[in-house]
Amino acid sequence: MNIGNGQYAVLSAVVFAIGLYGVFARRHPLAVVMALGLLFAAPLIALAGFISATAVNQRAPLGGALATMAIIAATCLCSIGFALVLLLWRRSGRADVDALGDIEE
Amino acid sequence: MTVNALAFYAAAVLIVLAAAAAVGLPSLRLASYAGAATVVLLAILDVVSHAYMLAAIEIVVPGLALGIVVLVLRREQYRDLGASTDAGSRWWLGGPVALAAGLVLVVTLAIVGPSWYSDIVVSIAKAVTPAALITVLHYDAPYALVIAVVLIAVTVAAGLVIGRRSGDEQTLDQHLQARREREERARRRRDDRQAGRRRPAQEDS
Repeated sequence: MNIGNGQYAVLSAVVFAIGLYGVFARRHPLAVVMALGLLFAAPLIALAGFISATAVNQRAPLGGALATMAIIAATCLCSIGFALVLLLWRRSGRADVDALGDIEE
Repeated sequence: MTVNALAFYAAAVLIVLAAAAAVGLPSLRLASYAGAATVVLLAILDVVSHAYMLAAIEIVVPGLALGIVVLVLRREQYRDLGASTDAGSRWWLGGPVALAAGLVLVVTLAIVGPSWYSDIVVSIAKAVTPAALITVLHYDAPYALVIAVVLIAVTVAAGLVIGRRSGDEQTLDQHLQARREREERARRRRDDRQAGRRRPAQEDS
């Protein structure tokens, strides 16, 4: 049985949906950041399929470059999110996204 | 290039399970282990797809960030931040949204099949001279490498600015520390006095 980019895309969609559930359902900010990481990781699966479909002699320059950028961007976004969580914790002393509304200047 | 179907489906099932555990487990520690497992499994999927360099990047870049996160969370002031018992209290909101988004994406992609991106993109991608990823980033797409480096530098700077403690917070921490030390000294003095009072009474008896 051949594995095409369609299978990769479906897997990517499932992981995206799981990440979306985490972002909406969890209240702990670290859990939300982790779910955001899953959201960002989902397109990487589709990109892996793209690489697999377009690779010539086991080398896929375009897909690889795109995926590298996506990994770095996702990691940077999650890192900034983590720094914001630390700020929220220090300001409010609560690990709850609802505490965002309680922060005063 | 052919992808091993068995390896793909095994990796896919494990990825879905690990991702579900990462968002569904009430313990944040266990959820973070599941998140790390998801990253490793994604790298394994890259290996299955013959994207070896990407698999290495997939492990190294998030791994470095995760290491910094663990180091920070081990500090005394953030120790309680990791404690969580919330296992998705808003499932009534997240469930339908995720189900709807997942259904739309999965049904659309299943109908479209292998042509979810244009053949033109595939032909362009195949027309690019095959080269190792590091060579491409260095010679063919240096802008991507520069953007990535700038992004990392900006993230480090922004993380330090957001994450650093202000002067007021440092003063408050010092006051709290001094207060804890005073209370500890007072408690010891009280214990010593009580012990001193008990000793003569025992000697008299």
